[in-house]
Amino acid sequence: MLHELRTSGSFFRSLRTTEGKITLLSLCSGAFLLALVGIVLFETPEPVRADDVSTSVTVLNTPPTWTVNAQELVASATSTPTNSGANITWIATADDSSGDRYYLLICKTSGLPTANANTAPSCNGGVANQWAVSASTTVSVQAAAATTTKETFPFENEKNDWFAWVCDGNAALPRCFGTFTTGNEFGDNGSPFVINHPPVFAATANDGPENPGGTVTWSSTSYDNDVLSGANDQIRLFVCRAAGFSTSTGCTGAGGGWATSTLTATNAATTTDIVVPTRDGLYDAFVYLMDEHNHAATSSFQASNSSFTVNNVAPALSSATISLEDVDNVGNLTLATPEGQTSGFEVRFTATDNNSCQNIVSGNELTSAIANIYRTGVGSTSCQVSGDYNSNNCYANASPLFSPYISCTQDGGSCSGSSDSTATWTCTFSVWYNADPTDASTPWTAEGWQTTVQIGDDDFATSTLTESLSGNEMTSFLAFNVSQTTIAFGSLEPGQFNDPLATTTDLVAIGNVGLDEDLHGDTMCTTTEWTGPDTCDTNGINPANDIPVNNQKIATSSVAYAATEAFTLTGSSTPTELTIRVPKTTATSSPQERDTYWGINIPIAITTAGSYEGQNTITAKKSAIGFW
Amino acid sequence: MAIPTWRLFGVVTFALFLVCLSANSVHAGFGITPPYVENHRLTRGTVYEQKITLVRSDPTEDLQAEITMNLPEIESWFSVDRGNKFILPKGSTQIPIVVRVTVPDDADYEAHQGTIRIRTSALEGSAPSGSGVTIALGAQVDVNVEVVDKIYDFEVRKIRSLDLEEGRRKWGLFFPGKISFLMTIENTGNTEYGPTKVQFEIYDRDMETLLETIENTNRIEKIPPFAIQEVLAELPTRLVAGQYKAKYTIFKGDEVAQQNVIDLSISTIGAIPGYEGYGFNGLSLADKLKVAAALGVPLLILGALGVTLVRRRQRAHALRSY
Repeated sequence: MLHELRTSGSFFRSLRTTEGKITLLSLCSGAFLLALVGIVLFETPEPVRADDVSTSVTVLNTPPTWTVNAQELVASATSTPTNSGANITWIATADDSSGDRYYLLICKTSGLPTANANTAPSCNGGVANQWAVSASTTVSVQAAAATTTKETFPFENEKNDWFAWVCDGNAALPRCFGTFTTGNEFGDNGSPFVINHPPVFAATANDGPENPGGTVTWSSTSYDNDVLSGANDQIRLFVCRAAGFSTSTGCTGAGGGWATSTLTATNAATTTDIVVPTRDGLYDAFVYLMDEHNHAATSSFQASNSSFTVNNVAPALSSATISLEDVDNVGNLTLATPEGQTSGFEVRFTATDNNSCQNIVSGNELTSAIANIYRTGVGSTSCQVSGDYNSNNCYANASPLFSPYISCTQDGGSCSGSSDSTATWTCTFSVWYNADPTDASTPWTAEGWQTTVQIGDDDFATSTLTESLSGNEMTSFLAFNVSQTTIAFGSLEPGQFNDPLATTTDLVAIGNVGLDEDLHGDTMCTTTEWTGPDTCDTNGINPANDIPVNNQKIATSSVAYAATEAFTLTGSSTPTELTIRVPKTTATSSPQERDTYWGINIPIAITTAGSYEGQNTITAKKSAIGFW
Repeated sequence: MAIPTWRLFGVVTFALFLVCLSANSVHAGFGITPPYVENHRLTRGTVYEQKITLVRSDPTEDLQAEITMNLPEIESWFSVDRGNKFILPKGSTQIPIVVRVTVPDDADYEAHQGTIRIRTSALEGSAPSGSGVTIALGAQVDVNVEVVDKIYDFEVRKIRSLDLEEGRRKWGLFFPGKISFLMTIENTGNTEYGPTKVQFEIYDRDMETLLETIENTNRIEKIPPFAIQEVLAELPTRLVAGQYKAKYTIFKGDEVAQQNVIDLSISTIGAIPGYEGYGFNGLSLADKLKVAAALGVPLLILGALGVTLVRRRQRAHALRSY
């Protein structure tokens, strides 16, 4: 100001100079010209009369005013951020003295927005600075402005300030209220709003395959960039059995989840135990990642199938469950087919498979079994391969001589489903008549019969060959055959006798023991007298037409009738023992046999010629074991 | 020496006939199993039965079977279910007979031996006349028995465990899962006997951690002397569904008759069709007390009320009398 006064002083002092006078003249001329132009340009006013004076005033539009300050409908704050993709809604109420409808405008800055006639207002700086604007709202009615957030611009920041304005759309003079609100009086519902961005899910994998009873671990490359809470948001990994996931409830697909990790800062990982039993095969495992605010990841790994394989494991057998059973499932093994095979013996056992007894396509997991059956003196290791087979003491499953005669199947209904790891099996087999007996009074009394069993699954994995805890005994089977039905002594005169003894009967061992025999006969008489065994001497012996039993002799070889090795045949009350000593048969195709030699002496007193009849009995019995 | 004419005629006839007899046919195979009645553990009053199966390889005709015994001093102890004469019918390859030995109460403690013979022959009248000297077949049963003092003994022939479901909670009570453990026992003694106790020690499937030790809750059936029979032990388990190893012990009095390990599979509820779990007898002592309290308290109250009413009535009656 002092400077200006000094400048003015110099101006008046300059009038004393020529230049000053010219300057003053120029100014005056300018002013005159301006006045003249004004008179020309403006209408010459009507003449004013004293009786015709009027007045006018224009009352300008006034802006709406806050009734209820703006706030977030749902608080969006550090502890309760808005997940990207979700809506944010602001609400406020305004009044307007002129009754104009109003807009709630949410801007990024505090610069006064521009109200627009008949349309929504604009934030200072344009739409780039605008978060949201409401629809035109009747005064005193709550206005709501909303926007849908997203991961990227303009929501890329976690923290976002907002400034709320109310404006009308007055056609003549649209106005915005001069003061913004930020809702700070509403706490977390006030500015700013906070955006929670999805976690980063960059990779996932598992460490399968795994055995039942093992553990599968799913790992991931994952993290979260949001740090507003003071540290990176924590993340959690879900592994689901089927596709389907909810951030609020987790796995929604069939079967639920395999595993869920704890909240962690980076690289979430989780594990699941593969329960026993679990069927072998490929299992789906859909992976999902979300952060601590239940915001799911959006990468391609989200909902990807990180499937894993459960290995096939070999089944197992418990020796205590293996039993070697007779045809009737009670007692010792009992042969019952002379010179043949007795069928229907059984090996029963319970098999366990950690892959369940039911496979992944609901068939049987356990598909095959073999059983070797042997006398304990032979031992399990000597009855395994085909060459070990011996009808006396070793029935090796591998032998083509035995394999057609053994059949192993799973017992129907013994597998109750995929959660059942056990099933019972039965092997049915046949045994030859010469199988070594192990019961009393045999060379193998101290032994028994045993079985080893092996079970296989549908992937050809097999258990160890397992011996039963307790076996069974093989019962002695006294079976024999005599090829002849009659004894032919030949043609003899009274007083003549067979010398040496030449007529034979055989005794064939078709069981599993060595044989001796007891022999007895009865008095012979003519065909006309003979009515049946032991009938000839009912009324006493008639020397003329009865031949007493002791006229017959027996021997184990063709000795003279009078030889001491020829034994006199006796009656039924005191049978004659003949130690014929037929060995135990060891080859099924060639039963052991021995002959008995017979002879007769026709009493000199016989006077009736003709055919004579009688009946001799051959009673087989076990021989002493030294002669088997 | 000259032979009289009549004798010469006789010789010729005799010779012709015997030549004809040389044309033999073949016997079918015959056998018995077992060929003995042997028991060294009989005691006074014992009834012992031995099944003997008679077998024929080609039963094309009926045969007569006849049993004769040579059992000095003890023949009266023996009997055969089919009697001493019976038919082996055509078509039957196996005919079982049961030899029963009934030891008298006053039998001496001693051993006895003997034989039983089983002879087969054509039915009477069925053998054609003119057959010559025919052959009948028989088999000998050796008898070897001994009477001794009482023996309590058995052998475990096999075991098996049925599938089971885990326990369930109902009405605030826990009904445990029921392990049905079946044992095939041969009573090798001469007195009714059987397993006295069964114990399970249940471990995790790796046999590392003992989870539960349990014993049978039921009374295990006794087995007659010399019989083979499957008996049941029921054991309660509170373990959840899963796979376990169970070390079982079968007791013979204070002795261990058998001990081994088996796999134990416990299924979830409803997984096993027809499974029946424990009822009230499987409850723990605490749960049983709960039930007793629930049932007993109302009964006690009712009882007390009843007593009170009776006393009042008696008092009123006494007052009226007074």
